[in-house]
Amino acid sequence: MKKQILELLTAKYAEAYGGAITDSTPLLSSGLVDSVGALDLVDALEQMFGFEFEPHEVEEKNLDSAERIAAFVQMKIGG
Amino acid sequence: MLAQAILSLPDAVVNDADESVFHVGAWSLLAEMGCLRYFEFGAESESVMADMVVLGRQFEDGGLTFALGAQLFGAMTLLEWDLQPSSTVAKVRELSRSGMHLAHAISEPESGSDVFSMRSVGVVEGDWIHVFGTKTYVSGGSEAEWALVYVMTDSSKGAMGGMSAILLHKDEWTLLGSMKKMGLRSCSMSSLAFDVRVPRERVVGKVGGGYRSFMKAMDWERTGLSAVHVGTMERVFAKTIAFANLRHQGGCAIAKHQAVAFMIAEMKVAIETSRVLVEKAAATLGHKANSKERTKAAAMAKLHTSEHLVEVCKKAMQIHGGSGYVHGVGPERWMRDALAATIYSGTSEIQRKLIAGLL
Repeated sequence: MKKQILELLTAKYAEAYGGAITDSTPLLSSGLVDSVGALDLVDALEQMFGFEFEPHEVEEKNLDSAERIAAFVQMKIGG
Repeated sequence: MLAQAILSLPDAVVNDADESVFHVGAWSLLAEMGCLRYFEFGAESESVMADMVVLGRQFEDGGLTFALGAQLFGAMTLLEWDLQPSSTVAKVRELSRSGMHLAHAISEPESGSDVFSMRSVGVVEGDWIHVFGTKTYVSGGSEAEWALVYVMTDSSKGAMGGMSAILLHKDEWTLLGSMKKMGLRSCSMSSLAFDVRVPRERVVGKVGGGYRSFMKAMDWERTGLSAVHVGTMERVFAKTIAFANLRHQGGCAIAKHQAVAFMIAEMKVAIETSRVLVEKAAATLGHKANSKERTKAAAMAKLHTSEHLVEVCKKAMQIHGGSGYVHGVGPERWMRDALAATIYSGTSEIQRKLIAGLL
């Protein structure tokens, strides 16, 4: 799962980041992903893993790195 | 969907004489026709937006169509999207579908409509929530029975995860007076102050869930108001053509003069390019889970239609000459109403910022 997430983040943000996206690369807190971009990321994760974020789950805690995203997705789909 | 019903409204309803008062009769008629029930009916977004074009074309009262767009798309959408509504949310949703005024309170005196700098607060205290703050530029605030108010329930999280939408009743806020506006005068604009404890079930959706719903609602509102702009431009265009064909100067109708004909041609191009962008945005609204394309399409439609609405009204005034500057003839009011369009629902600068960021 984390591999898929890293591939997605790399495709979306590696160029703007100017380097490899790792498990802990900060996304929102660093400004790499802005508030509108975060919603695009949420859409992509929902499509990739077949679940829906509830509106209150769209927050930095669940989206700020590949690690955090993986933990959240695992909690949602139990994979 | 409701276009035929809207087109059949009598002239006395669609051509109001007094722009300074809210037209309760026209609002009630639109509500009875189902203009606030599109989401309940599950109407296709393209069909809804086609009706908004017809509304903009039919109604001389820009304040009324603006009020409808703001309520239907800005405020009611959140209630419609709440899949497990509390009894109060369900009650207010049904009342607002029936024509009760539901205001949308987001802008603040210090932060404008920047939700990331919002200062109004909601402190969750068990089954209760203590909300306090001030909202300004609240359209329809004077008529509203209820308002959908955004507050920060967790400022440490910021708008994403920390912003909530909550329903307040008019008895729970203090109306800080109504502002006199340049245009769209029939739709009131007020500031509201509140400091009250209300049941937690007043939260629409869940605590902290305001941001994603707000962004989606803004996409709907921008597209809806853009559709109204297209209809408004069509109305202004039709009346200006009629004037240019009737008014003679130098032995022929002024429409035959190249200087006027060129302006008319540019007005037509503005309307048709606006229509294309609105149709694209409307189609994008209907697609699930593509917020990037949806937000971009809505912002492009809003930017293009609002800027061109101003230009179309300016040309209409120019073609009308001296009479266009006179209160009561038409162009003077169209111009005053149009100037609000590049400001409300996110200024043109905000739309440009959104578009650029999403490329």
